[in-house]
Amino acid sequence: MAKNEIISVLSVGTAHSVALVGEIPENGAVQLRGIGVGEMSGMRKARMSNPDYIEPGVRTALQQAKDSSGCDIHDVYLLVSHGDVRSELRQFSVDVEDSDGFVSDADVGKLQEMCSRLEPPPGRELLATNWLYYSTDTAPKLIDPKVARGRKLTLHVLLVHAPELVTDSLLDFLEPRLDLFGNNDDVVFTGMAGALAGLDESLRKDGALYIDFGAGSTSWCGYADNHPVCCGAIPIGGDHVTNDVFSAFRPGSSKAAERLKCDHGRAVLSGIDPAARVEVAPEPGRRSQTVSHRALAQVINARMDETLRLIRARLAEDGTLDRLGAGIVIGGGGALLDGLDELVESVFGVRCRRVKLRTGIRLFDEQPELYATAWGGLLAASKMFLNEQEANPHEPWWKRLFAKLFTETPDAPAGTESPKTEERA
Amino acid sequence: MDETLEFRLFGLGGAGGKIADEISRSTEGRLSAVAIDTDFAAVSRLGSCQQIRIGQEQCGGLGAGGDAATAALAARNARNAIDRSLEGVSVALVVAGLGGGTGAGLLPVLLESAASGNIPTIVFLVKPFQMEGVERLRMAGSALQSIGSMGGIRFVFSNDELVAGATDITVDEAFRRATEKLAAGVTLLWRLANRPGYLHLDTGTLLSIIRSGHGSARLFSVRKEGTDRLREAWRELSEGLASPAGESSRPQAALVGILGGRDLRLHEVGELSHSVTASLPSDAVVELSTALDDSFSGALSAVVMVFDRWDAVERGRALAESGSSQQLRDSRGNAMSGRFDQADETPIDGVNYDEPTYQRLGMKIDLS
Repeated sequence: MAKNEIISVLSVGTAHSVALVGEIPENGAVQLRGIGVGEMSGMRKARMSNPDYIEPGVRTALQQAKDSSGCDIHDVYLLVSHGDVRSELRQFSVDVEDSDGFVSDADVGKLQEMCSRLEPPPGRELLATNWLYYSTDTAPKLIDPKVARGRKLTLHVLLVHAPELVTDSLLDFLEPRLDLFGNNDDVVFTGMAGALAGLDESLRKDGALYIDFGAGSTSWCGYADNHPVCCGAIPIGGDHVTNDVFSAFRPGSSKAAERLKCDHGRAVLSGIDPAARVEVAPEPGRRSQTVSHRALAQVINARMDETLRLIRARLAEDGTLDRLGAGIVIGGGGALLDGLDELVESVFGVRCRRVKLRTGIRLFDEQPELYATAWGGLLAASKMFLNEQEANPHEPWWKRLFAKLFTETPDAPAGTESPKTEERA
Repeated sequence: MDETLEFRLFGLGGAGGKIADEISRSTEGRLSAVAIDTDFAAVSRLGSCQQIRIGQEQCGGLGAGGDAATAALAARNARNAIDRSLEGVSVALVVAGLGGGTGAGLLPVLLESAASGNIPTIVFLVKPFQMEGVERLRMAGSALQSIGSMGGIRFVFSNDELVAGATDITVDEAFRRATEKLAAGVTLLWRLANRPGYLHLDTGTLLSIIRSGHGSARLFSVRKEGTDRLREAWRELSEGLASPAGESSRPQAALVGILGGRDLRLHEVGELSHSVTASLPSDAVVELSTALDDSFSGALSAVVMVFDRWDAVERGRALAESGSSQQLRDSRGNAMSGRFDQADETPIDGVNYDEPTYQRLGMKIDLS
């Protein structure tokens, strides 16, 4: 690999677009080189609702990233979410041909063939196929199957699917306008990106869940035994909380509702004086207004409790809830809501904390909830890039996507070295 | 309501800017006005407006060249400046010509910006003269379509209507008459709020009226002097009210504004408002307000806004004090989804989660 490769990640969210430029030194971990953030309009529930308004926010993010990194950005890895992402664990098995049970390339090739014909559930499109590990009847978990022996060889994969290829419409829209190039293989799902950044090695091993609370959607990814076991997303996010607050209290504008939520919102009722009132930021033409703090918390608690229970139900449906007992880490802008960690603990019955980062980048480490997903996206993209670079061109495509991404311990965060990047305040 | 309403007039593009400038000048600058244009030379000539120049990169300051898409892109890139121009505004009055490019391109962006700040808008759109040709008329039609149902109340005029009946007048005179007719409607609510007469609506009620009207509306204005001013005013108004509404459906509400000086008589107010009410369907909501302004002395002026869509829920909510966890419902009886009203529903297992949770679950919350 040539020294110091440059890669770019673009996240197009409902509230913000974030563009990151990373530099991959030879034999080193990815370093952040540039960052850009653009305020978004035209997205609702993680989907393009008004395409004409999407471009300025994305353009701003890309331009800032270009300016801060000194690099042009044309090829990007896309960090995507969607309102309806589901996953399922699948297994494919073949009988080992060799009479002595030695696994051969032919056995592995048969599994390849079976996997290449993978179909998502009816009415869904495959977002990603994550190859997790192999097993035989004598070895429960293997990275390299060719050292194995057994009668049957099994490949375990995690399929991630959605109603549509969200990247298609987004790329079709962005590519000509912003002189960008991306494709459906260079995609990282936000839930997985957040988990990569937010779950440390012990949590990934013991079984933990990362939940990303975005403005348009909420996504998650669960790990156990060092590999992902589930991921998903629902089209309910911070915008719904704001809408509920606006609907209940009519504070004059949705901006005022957003401020009321951010300044005084609480996800649980404990610790609130029942008689306390909080002020709504004044709006022109409206009388000054106060609302009951408890009533505000009730409205928000109703929404957040319901959202968390939806996630819990999905995990139970996937059969993965019982594997995530080591705890939950929360991130995304919505994770800043006061008391949300308490509510998560009460709904899931496991410990919850907000995401922490130690990247050495002040912006990320001081506001980890806002940047964990983007940072995780850069980590994921760097691994995908390295996989592509190191692959033998004669190897089948599936080897190039093999779960090096998930079964190896990710490279140490860049906090151990002096960052070469520009920080943005 | 104690606070005053801050009205601001936005003139978009060349035509809109000129009209806004003229109207602001006629109020001696008391109605603040902002002109937004891609033609820097044109906007520089507007002495009564704050000027916002956009599209340096796209248009080089020379105008959008009749291309609404270019103007729209310029506007989106200047979104911050547009947002700032709306700060502190209670009601945005917007004037734009539809035959060129800038007014049509700018309009959706301004409406979107106002909507995000929950600022109600009243839009006055002017279509080109027939003599300006098919292409400009087609552009005007396209522009109207692209706006769709954005914004609040909308009045659409054609230049031919605004100068109707004037057979041999100079171009300057034609512009003056057209602007005068527009100014009556554009400034009505501002005058009712700032120059209230003895019969007046408080600012809260005015605001709720503005929020309750939706979509296309019709505007009729008269100004008559002399001893027979009442009869002449009613004759002209009744002709307008009786004329076919075109695509409009049955009027649901009207705001009658009567403006006069100290010589305005009570019986003139009574008879005119009674006549207007009688000309509308019996179930239409009619609100009456008067404005007292010395500049109207010697004349009887009336402006009638007729709304074909009227949100009785919004109006009712403004009238009733909010004191309990009441569910807001739309005309179909469905609980309203607020900011997701315009987005596709995303049901999960048949449940529409866009609807507020506390409403959907029927929670009793004291919202006082």
